[in-house]
Amino acid sequence: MVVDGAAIFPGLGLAIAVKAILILLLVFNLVFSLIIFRQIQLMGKRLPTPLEPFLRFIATIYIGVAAAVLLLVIGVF
Amino acid sequence: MDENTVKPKRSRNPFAMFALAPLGVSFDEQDEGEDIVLLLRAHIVTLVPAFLEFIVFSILPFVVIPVGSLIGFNISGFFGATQLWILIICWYVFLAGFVFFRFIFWYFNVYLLTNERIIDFDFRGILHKETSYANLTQIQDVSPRIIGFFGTFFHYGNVYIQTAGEKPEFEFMNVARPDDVARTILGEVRDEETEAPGEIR
Repeated sequence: MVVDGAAIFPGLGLAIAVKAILILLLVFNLVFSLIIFRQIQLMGKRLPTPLEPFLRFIATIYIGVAAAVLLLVIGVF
Repeated sequence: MDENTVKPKRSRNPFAMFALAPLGVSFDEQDEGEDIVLLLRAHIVTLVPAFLEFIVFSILPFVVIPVGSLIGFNISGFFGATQLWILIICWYVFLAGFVFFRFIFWYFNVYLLTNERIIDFDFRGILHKETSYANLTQIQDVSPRIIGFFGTFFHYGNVYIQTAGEKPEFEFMNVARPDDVARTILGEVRDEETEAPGEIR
C-alpha cells in the first residue's frame, strides 16, 4: 500500500503541514539554544572552569545555526 | 593540612570526573584561603546511553528513507530534493542540540569538596538549577555505595553524606572511586575538627 500525503493531512498539502510543524519545532529549538547559552553564562559565573569560554562559543555558534536553519525553512522549504 | 603531607598532583584535565585540586577552577562564593580539594562529576560511563542514542539518531535518516521506500512510504515522492535535504539538516540541528545539552548537563553537575565545606551544583534540567552547601563541621556520616554490574566493573557509585545542616543529606551520584571520595571527605572533616573556629588552613 502506498501512503498518500493528502490522506495524512486532509485538506492541507503535506509539504505545508510539515513546514508549519518544522517552523514550530525550530522556534522551540531557538529558544532552547538561547536558554542553554544563558545557563552556560550563569554556570560560568558560579563555577568558572577553563572550558567555559569554549562552551559559550559553541553555544553562540549553535544559536546562529538554529536561527539560520529557521530562516532557511521559512524561506526555502 | 599537615606540612609533612605529600601534596597530590593537581588535575589539569578540564573533563576530569575525579580531579584532585583542579587547576583553573574556582566558584563564586569561595572564601579567601578556601581551596578546592576535590572536584567530582558523574562517571563518564553514565554518558554511554546518550552516546548510543546519538549513534542511533545519526544514522536514522539514512535508514528511514530506504526502509520507507521498501514498505511503500516513499518520502522522496512527497518532497523535492531540496526539501529532503532541509529536513535532514533540521534533524541534525536538533540532534546537535540534544548532544550539547547532555554534555552541558554532565559537565555542570559538579560536586566540590573544599577544605571548609562540600558543595553540590545540581543542574537538574534546562530551567532547574540548585546549589547546596554544608560545612565540614556539620558532616555526621559519609557512606559510599557501589551498586550493580557497571558500578562494580567501572568502579563508580554514590556517596551519601549525612549532615546537621539545612539539607540533611547530600548525594554525590555516580561518582568515580566512591570509597576514595568518602575517605578524602572524612580526612578533611578530621582536619577541620582540629582547627580553631573560624580558622582556614
